[in-house]
Amino acid sequence: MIHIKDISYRYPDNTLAIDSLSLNINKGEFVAIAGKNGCGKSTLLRHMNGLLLPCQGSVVVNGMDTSDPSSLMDIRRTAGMVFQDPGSQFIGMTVEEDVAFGPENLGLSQREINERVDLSLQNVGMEGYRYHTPRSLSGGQKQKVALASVLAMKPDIILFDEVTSMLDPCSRKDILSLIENLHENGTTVVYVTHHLEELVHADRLVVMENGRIVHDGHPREILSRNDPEQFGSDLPPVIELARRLADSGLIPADPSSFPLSRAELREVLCRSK
Amino acid sequence: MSIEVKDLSFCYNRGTSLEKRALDNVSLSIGKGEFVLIGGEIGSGKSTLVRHFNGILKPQSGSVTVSGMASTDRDVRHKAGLLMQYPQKQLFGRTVFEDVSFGPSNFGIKGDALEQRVADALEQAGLGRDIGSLSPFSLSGGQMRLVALAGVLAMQPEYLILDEPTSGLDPENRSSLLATLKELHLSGISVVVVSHQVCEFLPLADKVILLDNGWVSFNGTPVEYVRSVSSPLPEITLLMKDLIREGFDVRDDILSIDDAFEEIVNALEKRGAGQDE
Ligand SMILES: Nc1ncnc2c1ncn2[C@@H]1O[C@H](COP(=O)(O)OP(=O)(O)OP(=O)(O)O)[C@@H](O)[C@H]1O
Ligand SMILES: Nc1ncnc2c1ncn2[C@@H]1O[C@H](COP(=O)(O)OP(=O)(O)OP(=O)(O)O)[C@@H](O)[C@H]1O
Ligand SMILES: [Mg+2]
Ligand SMILES: [Mg+2]
Repeated sequence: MIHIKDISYRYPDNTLAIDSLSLNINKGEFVAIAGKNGCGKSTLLRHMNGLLLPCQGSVVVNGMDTSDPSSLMDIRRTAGMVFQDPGSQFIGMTVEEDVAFGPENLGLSQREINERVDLSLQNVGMEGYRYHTPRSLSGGQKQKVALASVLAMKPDIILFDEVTSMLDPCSRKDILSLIENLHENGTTVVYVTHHLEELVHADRLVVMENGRIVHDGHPREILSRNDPEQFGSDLPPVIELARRLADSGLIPADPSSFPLSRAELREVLCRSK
Repeated sequence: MSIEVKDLSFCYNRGTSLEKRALDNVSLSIGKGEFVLIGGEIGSGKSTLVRHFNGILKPQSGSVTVSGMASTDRDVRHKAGLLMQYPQKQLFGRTVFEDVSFGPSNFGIKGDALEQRVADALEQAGLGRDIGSLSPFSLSGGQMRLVALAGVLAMQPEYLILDEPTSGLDPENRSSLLATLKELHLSGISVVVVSHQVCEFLPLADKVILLDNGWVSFNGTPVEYVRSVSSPLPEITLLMKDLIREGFDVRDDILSIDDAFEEIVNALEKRGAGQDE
């Protein structure tokens, strides 16, 4: 679905943000991307829908090369992106206009557009804010509307850049299950996050460092492995606790059954009691 | 001396069809040297409230005073420094240095003293000194937030007010920010943190305030919070509560990984011993 072959990217000020990186993402996969601030996650994502073009190497999305200007519109339709800073994404004067913008550009009938706008706003719980200006929303509300605007286009691939960072625990759960739902229905999901406890549904975790990929595997494999320093992070408390219990032999150390969430750890503990 | 909020109400788009009462008769106080955590759902009025603390918003009814000074006084900015929820809005300089030095240079600090202030603030925010010459707009999302934070720290405010400061930070930067805040708090600075990650700050806080639709729905200590509020609680605490329901003999007021580990080890041992008998 997305073939990234040996790409490098330098920003105009000469910062090397992506350094000879290759990555293949298959149709229907849920790939999470993690790594320290400034390691190149957003830059990589912007290559996956042609917002940035590599200085070297190639990116092919659904058979279309992003360096081919005539495919660019199709690529943007295929791969929708929810930005890290939702403010930079708003175009409409009202929430409704903003969410309708994508479907309008797809040339859909007015009826279909209305349906999609209604459904997407409902899905993120923002139907009560149709006539509000996106700029005048609270931080979390902005994030939800930005999400709705991309959902309304029903792209085959959705690129999520830290979309839960401003959500309360309850909305975070709702949005995560919405994303898991999209994935179950065949959408290819690329999901950038600093919250490793969100990875229960991911098929694959890619960890970046200095513009390169340093780990690529199942989240259980990577998070149960020994040195958390390797991927530059303090582990979420539940995972840290699980690792200590595994290290002391109180729960199985086998990576394939390593618990990634509170519910999973509870189950493992109940089994070992 | 403290921040005193009395009967504060605030409406956006007053008199239009989009009228929204964001704060409804809010009264609270933030004592000198206190660490106060403000939580609540999306759209509950948290940002609206803290924007009153440094005078960005003026009370429509009721009052806000900061160390005795009305928040409508221009000089209130010297006392209360605010890190906004989307810090991109706060950045404007050609270089990071220009940005971070803006506040203190407005207070009349110059030359070496200014350089020192900026260097200290960048270090406190967990950034290298060499970042000073870069454009703030050439940074990643997390780096931008840290630069905006450095800008607020460089003003050395009496009240440090941070709206979602850990959002977008990697786990390492999150824990170093927590350590910095702990240090500032110990040195006597008042810290106000608005966050959805309430649990992350619980161990640092003296007081927790929850907003619900513009109302103060909870105002108490972290211990009272853990006892009386059903969510959000730390995952570790919730795990222990789950385990109790599953018949494990563990405590329900555990906050740290160390304590949880010990409790689980003991509970499993007790069970093992019980079965041997
Ligand atoms: N517009 C830009 N101009 C120059 N350099 C940039 C620009 N945007 C990002 N960079 C640099 O490129 C590198 C990668 O940035 P990127 O935004 O991809 O990081 P990230 O992994 O998304 O970080 P974060 O977790 O903080 O969002 C960083 O060193 C950053 O300073
Ligand atoms: N500039 C504005 N114009 C109109 N309404 C606004 C404006 N800013 C906020 N509101 C509305 O006021 C209410 C409170 O917003 P506020 O930003 O204070 O919430 P919050 O608690 O900070 O939420 P979040 O956690 O999402 O940041 C929301 O319903 C929001 O839509
Ligand atoms: Mg980023
Ligand atoms: Mg807010």
